[in-house]
Amino acid sequence: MISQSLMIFTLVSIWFSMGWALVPLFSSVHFWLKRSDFKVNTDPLPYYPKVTIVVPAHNEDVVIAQTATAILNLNYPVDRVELLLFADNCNDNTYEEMQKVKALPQFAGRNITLINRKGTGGKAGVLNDALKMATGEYICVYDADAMPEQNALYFLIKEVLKDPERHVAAFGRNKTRNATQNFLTRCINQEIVVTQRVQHVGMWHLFKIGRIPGTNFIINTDYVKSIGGWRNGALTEDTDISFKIMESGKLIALAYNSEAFQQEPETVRTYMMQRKRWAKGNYEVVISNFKNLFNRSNWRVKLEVFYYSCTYFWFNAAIILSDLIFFANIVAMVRHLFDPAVTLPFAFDPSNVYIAQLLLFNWLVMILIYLLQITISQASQFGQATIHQVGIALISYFTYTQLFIIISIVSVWSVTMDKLLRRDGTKWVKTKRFAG
Amino acid sequence: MTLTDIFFYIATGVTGLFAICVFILLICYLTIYERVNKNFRAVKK
Repeated sequence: MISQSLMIFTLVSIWFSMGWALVPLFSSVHFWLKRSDFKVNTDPLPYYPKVTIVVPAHNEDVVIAQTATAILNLNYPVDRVELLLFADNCNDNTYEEMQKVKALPQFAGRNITLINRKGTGGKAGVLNDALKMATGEYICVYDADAMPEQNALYFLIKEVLKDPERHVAAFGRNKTRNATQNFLTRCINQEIVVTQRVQHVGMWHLFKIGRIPGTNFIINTDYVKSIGGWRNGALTEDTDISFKIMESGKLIALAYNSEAFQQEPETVRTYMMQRKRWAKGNYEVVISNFKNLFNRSNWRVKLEVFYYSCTYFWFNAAIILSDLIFFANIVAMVRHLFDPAVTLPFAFDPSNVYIAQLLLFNWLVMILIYLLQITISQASQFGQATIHQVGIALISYFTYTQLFIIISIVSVWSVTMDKLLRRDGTKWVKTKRFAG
Repeated sequence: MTLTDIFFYIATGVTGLFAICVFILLICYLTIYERVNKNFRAVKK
C-alpha cells in the first residue's frame, strides 16, 4: 500500500508539472500562430530616449572586444547612446581590450566610459555603480559575452514606448552563439530556444509576466532608483529585480524580436557550476519571497512564487523519488536472477494486467509532448526545425535533461549547508568563456 | 475496487487528455512550420 501510494504520488506530481508546462506551451502556440505570417518592420520610432548601455565584465578579455563592437554598431542614434564598460576586479587584459575598442577610428567621438572597478558586490555591485553614473532615461544591460543583433536595442525601446507608464522594463531573447560547438552546447541551445520561444512568450502572452534575463534588457533608470537598485551580492540579481518590479504592479515587457548572441558553457564542469549558481540563486529568491504566497502581494508575484516553489521543491522531489523507485526495482530484478524469492518492491496490483501498458503509453505521450515543445519553439524561426534537432532532443531527454536532477540535489544540499554553517553562499562564480 | 484500479481509471483519463494535446500540438506545429517557411522574412535592414 505504501509503495503504491509513493508511485501514485510521483506520477500525479509529474502529471501536474506536465499540465503546468502545457499552459505556456498552448499560450505560445497561440502567439506564434498569430505572428508567424507577417513581415517585421523597423520604421523609425516617434522618439528615441537616451539609453545608458552597461557591460559588466569580470575577466572577459576573450569576448569583450566583440561585444563592445557589436554594441557600438547598434541601429540606434549614436547621440542617444552612452556606453559604460566596467572591468570589474579583472586580473586579465579586459580593460586593455576595452581601451583598444574605444581607440578605434570608427568610434571616435562616441560616448564611451571605461571603468576599472575594484569594488564589491559582483554584477549587482557593478549595476548599482552604473546606476549612479547613468545619464540615460533607460539602462540597458549586456553581459560581456552577449553580442546584440543590430536592431536589438531598437526593439526593446519600441516595446517600452507602447506603454511607458506600465512597461518599466523590456527584455529580449538570447541566442546561443556557440550552438554547434559540441553536443552540450547543442542541448543548451535547444533548452534556451524552448525557454524563450515557449515559456517567456507563453507567460507574457497569457499573464503579462516577464522575467529579466540578466542580459539584453532595458529598465527605466528612475524606476530602478525608486526601488533601491539591485541587491548587492544576489546570485541571480535578475530574478530578484523581476520580483520587485512585479510587486510594484509594473510590467517587464517582452520584445520578442530583440536578439543577442550569448556564449554558453562548452564543458560539463563549467555548465554545472553556472547552473548550480542559478539554482542556488533561485532557491534564495523563492525562499525570501515565499511569504508572498500568503499576503496581499501582486497576483503575478504569487503565481511566480507558486510556480518556482512547485518546480524547485515539489516537482524536483517527485522526479528524484521516481528515479529512486526505478533504481530500486532494477536492483530487485537483478537480485531476482540469483534469488527467485526477491520481488519488486514497487509494483501495482498484479490483478490489473493493463496498467503497465497504460503507463508505458502515458510515458511515450509525455515524451511526444516534450519533443513537440522543442520542435514548435524551433519552428517559430526559419530553418531551425530539422530532423537533426529532433534527434538531439531525443538523446538529450535521456542525457542532458538528467543533469538537472544532479544540479537540484547539489544545490539544495549547498543552500542547506550555507544556512546551517552560516556560509557566504552568495560568492560570485563566473562562467568560463571560450575563444572563437 | 483496489487502489490500483482507481488509479488505472485516473491514468486512462490523463493519458487520453495528453494524447489529445499531442494531436492538437502536432497540427499547430505543422501550421507554424508551414507559415514560417512560407512567409517569414528576416528583419528588414
